[in-house]
Amino acid sequence: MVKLVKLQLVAYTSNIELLIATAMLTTCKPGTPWEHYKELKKKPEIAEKLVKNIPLKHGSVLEHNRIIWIVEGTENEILKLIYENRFFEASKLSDNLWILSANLRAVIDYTASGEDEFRRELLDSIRYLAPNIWRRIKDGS
Amino acid sequence: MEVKLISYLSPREVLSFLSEMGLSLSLEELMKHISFTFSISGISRACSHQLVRHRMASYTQQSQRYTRISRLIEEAIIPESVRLKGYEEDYRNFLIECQKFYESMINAGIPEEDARFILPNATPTNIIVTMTAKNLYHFFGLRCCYRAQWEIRELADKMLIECRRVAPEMFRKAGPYCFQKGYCEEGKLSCGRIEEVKEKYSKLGYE
Repeated sequence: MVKLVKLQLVAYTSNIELLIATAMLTTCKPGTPWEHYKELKKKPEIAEKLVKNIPLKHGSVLEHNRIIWIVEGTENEILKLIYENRFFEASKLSDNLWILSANLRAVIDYTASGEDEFRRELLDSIRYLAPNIWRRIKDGS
Repeated sequence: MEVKLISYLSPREVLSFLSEMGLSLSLEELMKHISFTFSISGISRACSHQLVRHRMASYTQQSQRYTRISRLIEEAIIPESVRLKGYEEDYRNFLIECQKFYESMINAGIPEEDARFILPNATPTNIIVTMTAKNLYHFFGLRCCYRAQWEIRELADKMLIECRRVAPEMFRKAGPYCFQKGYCEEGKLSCGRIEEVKEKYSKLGYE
């Protein structure tokens, strides 16, 4: 179990759910990603509807973003986390302080792979940056 | 070919957050955490095949199962060498035949996922790409090189210009590996134009 504590959100790609919807349309609709993006920006209700219906295991569309946190933990804990999910990146800031980053897909996969305080904090941290995705994970849908 | 930077994480935002907490991080370490997302359209399938070989990245590409190719003749990519050698007309005629055959198969009830087997590498595609700055450096190192194939080199140059527009300091040293390292790694296959390359990439996107 990873016992990392004191997770703090630092920065994240803006409009994450809009990017997810753009990626969804890119796969299955004629038009450029840029055109889809501009269209969805004007009609956020369509983007929201798409995101609410995406199968969460449909991975690649969840990857076009980056979320950065600061975490407190030992080197062994960080190594264990990276071992458990190779899509997390970590950089040492000071003795027990690290910059950690990943995309939303890695967060979803990792939080679904077990249950502990760190995973709960990680999931809570996406509550405002991807609210519809967060709600679906919480509801188990 | 059109390349647009749809979204990115600002290095400045992260560094100022850390600075407020009395912390710091080198630009090189920060590059592992900052990602850039591009809308790329109007490249050939030949080009996208080269692009997706860069595995440390995320891709979402237009499906040929769920979208029908309707403008092959108008939008297919025609290499300059084909024009220069006088093959453009034959090339276009082949595209016309391809489009006709593709449509006749679909009209006969063959699904798009099977009819697409007849489409050439020149078929245009759209794709979203996300890479961290660190992986972009590697991508530029290989694909901005004068020895890279012309279409992916053009794509890499356009992506680099977009990166330098929003994060000029972070990408100042980005470009082909001879520009990044000061020497060419290609040995006997070197283009031999290192000074010209250095001159180009010291300015690209900054002018």
